[in-house]
Formats: sequence, structure tokens, C-alpha cells
Amino acid sequence: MIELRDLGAPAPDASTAALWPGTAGEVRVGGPGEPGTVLLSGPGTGSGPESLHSHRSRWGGLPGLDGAQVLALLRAARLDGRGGGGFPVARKVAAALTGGGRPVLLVNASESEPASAKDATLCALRPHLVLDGTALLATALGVDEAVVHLHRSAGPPVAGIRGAVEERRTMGYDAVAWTVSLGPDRYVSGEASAVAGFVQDGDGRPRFAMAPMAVEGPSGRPTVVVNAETVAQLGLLARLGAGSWASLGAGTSPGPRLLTLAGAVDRPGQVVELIGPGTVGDVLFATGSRTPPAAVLVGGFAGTWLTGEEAWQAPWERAALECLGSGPGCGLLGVLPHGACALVETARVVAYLAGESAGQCGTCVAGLPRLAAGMASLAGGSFRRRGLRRMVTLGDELLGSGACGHPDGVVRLVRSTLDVFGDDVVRHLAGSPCRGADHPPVFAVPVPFDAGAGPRPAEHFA
Amino acid sequence: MTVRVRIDPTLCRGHAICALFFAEGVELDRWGFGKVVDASPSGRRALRRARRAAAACPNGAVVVTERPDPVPVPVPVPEVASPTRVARRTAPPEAAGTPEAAPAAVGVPVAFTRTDGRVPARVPDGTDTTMDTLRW
Repeated sequence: MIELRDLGAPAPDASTAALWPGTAGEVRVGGPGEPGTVLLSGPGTGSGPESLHSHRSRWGGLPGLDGAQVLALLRAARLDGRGGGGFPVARKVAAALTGGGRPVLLVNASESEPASAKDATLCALRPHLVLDGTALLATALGVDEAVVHLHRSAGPPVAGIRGAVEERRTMGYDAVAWTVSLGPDRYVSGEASAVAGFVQDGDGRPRFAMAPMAVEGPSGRPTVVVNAETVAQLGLLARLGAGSWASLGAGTSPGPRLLTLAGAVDRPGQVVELIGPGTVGDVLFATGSRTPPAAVLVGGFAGTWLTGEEAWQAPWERAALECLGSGPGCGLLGVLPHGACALVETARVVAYLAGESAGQCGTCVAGLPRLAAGMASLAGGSFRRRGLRRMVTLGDELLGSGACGHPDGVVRLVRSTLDVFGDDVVRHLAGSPCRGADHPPVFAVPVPFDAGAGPRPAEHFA
Repeated sequence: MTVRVRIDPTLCRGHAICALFFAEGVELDRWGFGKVVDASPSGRRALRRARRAAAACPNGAVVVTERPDPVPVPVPVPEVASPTRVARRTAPPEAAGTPEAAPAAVGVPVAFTRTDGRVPARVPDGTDTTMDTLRW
């Protein structure tokens, strides 16, 4: 670990130094503006986007780092992507720099996950932190333009980013030529290659590519697509220094982490910041739960299930979650209460995801509706052993055959459901009445498209 | 020469013609969509069959790309080395003598270039026939 001072940058001023008392091993959980938070510190939820004046008085101006210093900072802090993939940002930037041509910088703030709200919260409340990190990343890439991409109908985040960009332009705060791109509201349109493609030619569907986008994107130039939380973390990292920033995390997940709570919690859609080596139980306890729930869906709709007891003790850290066959993903904690049926909930989620395909690859067009139908049959109790075997085989065949990771995510969810809820599966196969049949839906899943009705027209993605 | 064969799943409409031409390298799933199992065919015959499959695909979904093998970068030799060892350890003269064709350093990603002459156009929805009539 190296300190920011080693990189020739000014030390963080007293106001930011006061933000982290720095007790090692201390776990803190808090929402926007609550005491103990760092990334979400500042005004509370009700006060709208933070103004540039307030942002500067709390964090100081944009740190004067050159490109090599930003890259060294990313390497030293081991900042990982927060959109779900967890790819090291430093490697993305390094690949783009060695590739041919001027890199393109895209910030993906189009949070497609219906239950997740962390990027929306950041863009709506702390837009200048997102833009600061983007400006630093532009420096590292040696470019002076950046695109922030959001879903068209996302209200407060779009307003927050637009207002912040306008403030910066009028004040001449940075040398970045900002573009705010508004794309289609579809789930797969938030995928990185779909975002890059939409910015290039207005078609918001995932793309097939022979090379990684950081080497050659849809425009033919190296394209770096980073999540909005990732750049906000960079904005923070540049102020705190690699060592201090990383110490706010735990082990293989350095830095503060944002989580969204969904399902059976006090406030679904609540975004909290986790600091220190906390567990899922710490987060749930801090937000009002007192006992482990039946199960937790970790990492997003295309994530994995953990049983309540397992999840309650699981540290929110990449290596630990991977030991349990899971991962931090986009930071979603979907809480399933006792009495609800995981198979019924998963069937609803899978039906939604199957309907959200772009209808490009055979995998999604022919495979996902069948997988969704299989899950519905299993949840409805009309499945026998052979049907289940067929569904598992279908999932194995679908894995890794699409242009993007959409079908893989759905298969992962189905597999983990069968793994974790084996007893429920046996009960459903035997035709026993389902305990959770009368339980109201736990996850707020948008009304799914009819997955059997065929591919979506291209206009849906323009 | 490193050859790579891939099928663009967004263009594949399950005509299954690639499996006729390049049977050893392509596997069909239950609907007839192709999946490449031998992405780097070795031997001239296999490569020719892969190229035929690429040429025969009505949607241009089979992509055959190739790139030259990375040439090792000459290792800088310390001056204390004897002349014979210097001669042995420097790169061959044709690689070192053409600065305009200087190869990229090992490990630097080089973009694959398409050599089958097809334009990787995206098929606009509505113009392709099979996907609409596919029964599920």
C-alpha cells in the first residue's frame, strides 16, 4: 500500500481527514448523509443533488494528478469494477492505453437491475463525486471527453448528472467535454457492450466482439466502460490515498462498498454504505432485521442464493463470497422472508429476465423462454423428475453460448436455486402443497414481456 | 499465423450450413445454432473448411480471423557479452531490419482482422426469416 503523498499529490485536508476516525476493524453501515459514512457522507436523502460548492467545501477541488499518477493509484488501491463483473479498473485502463487509437471513456450509470439503486443514488445525490472520478479517469486515459450513460426514464439520476455537468461547464471546473447519453430502458441495454454500441450508433443491444472492448470497442477505438460507483470510488480514492481508501474495505474488497436492500426489509430500495470487514448480517441488522431471514439473493437478479444462516455470517468480501459460490455482483441483497417460496420468487425473476432479452442470439430466443417455463412448472408443482433433468440439461447447454452474459446470469440463478433449495425442489416434485403459494410477491419485478412472443423489435433498443 | 474461428451468436439463425462444411469444428445445439468447438484449427485442410463454412453462412455469422504470430522482441544484450553470444542472442536480421513492420511487443493485445472479406453488418430485425418462424 502506498500513501497518496508518495505519489506527489497533496495530503487530504483536515475536513476529509475528520471523516474517517480510522479504527481498524470497525464496521459501519449507513445511508446517504448518515454519520460514519464516507462515500455517501454529506447532505441527506431529501436535499437533492449536492451542489458543486458544497462538494468542493467538503472534498476540496479536483486533485491535480497526472495520468501516470492516477494509474498508479488505481493499481495501488486495486480498485475493482462495481457494476457486477469486478474487473480491476487498472487493467482496463492499461489495456486501453496499449491498444491502438484514442480511447473512449464511458461511464455506465444505467442501472438496469430493477431492484438495485446504488448508481441511481450516487447520480441523484453525489453527482460531482461521480464526475470527479470520471475526470481523473479521463486524465489517466489521456482524453478530454467523457460520456455518462443513463436510462432514459430514470428521473432523479438524470437530473442530478445533467445539473452537475451544467454547473461544471459554467464554472469551468474541469477540462472535460461532457456528454450525457440517454439510452433505452431495457435490462440488457445496460450491458457494457450495449452501452458502448448505443453511444456509437444508437443501437442499445449487446454486441458480439472478437476482442475485449478495452482493446477494440464498437467504434474501433479502445473503449473503457466503467460503472458509476466505480468512478465515484476513484473520486474518493484520489482524496484519501490508496492506503486510507483501501482500509475502509476488507481483504479482497478494498474501499467502502455500496449495497442495495430488496425484498423483505424495512425499506426496499434502501442504499447503504458498508465500511470495514462487515458481514451480510451486519448490514441487515443495521437496517432493521434482527434474525437471519430464510434466504438472501446476493449480487443481483443474475446472482446467487445463500441460505439465511449462511448469508448472515458471510463477510461482504469477494474471496469469502466466492468460497460460498457467490460474489458481490452489483451489491444487491434480496431478502427472502420465512414463509415465502424461493422457487416461486425465482420463477418470477427468471420470467422477467427471459422477457428482457434483446432477441439476438438463439440462446436467448429459443432457450430462455423454455428455462422460464421450466422454472414456472417447478414452482407450480407440475414438474416431475424427468422435466427437472431436462431443465438442468438445457441450462448446461445455454451456458456461454450468447454474445453477452445475459443467459449465463439466468442459468447461474436457476442453478443456485436448485442447489440451495433442494428440499423445496423435492417437495415441489412430489406435488406437496407449496408453503409460499399464498405469500405476496417478495421482489418487485417489473411486469415481464411475454418471452414466448418472439424477439423484441429493434426499435425497443433504440 | 494464429487462426481463430468464431460464430457471432447475434447473427446466427440456425441454418446449420457451417456444420456441413466444417463438421469437425462446429457443434450444433438442439435448435441448430452453431457453437465452435475447435476455435483454432490446425492444418491447411481444416482451415480451408473453416473458410468455406464462413463463406457459405447466409448470415455471415462464421468469422475466421488471423493474425501474425508475435515476434519476440530482441533482448538487449549487455556490452560485456562476447561477440559470438551477441550474434546468437539478437533477433534475425529481417525482423530487426524493417522498422516500419516492427511487431508489437509480446503480450500487447493486437486486434484481430477479418480476412473472409465479409462486412460484419448487423442484421436489422425483420429482414431475417428464420428467427420469426422458429417454433418454441
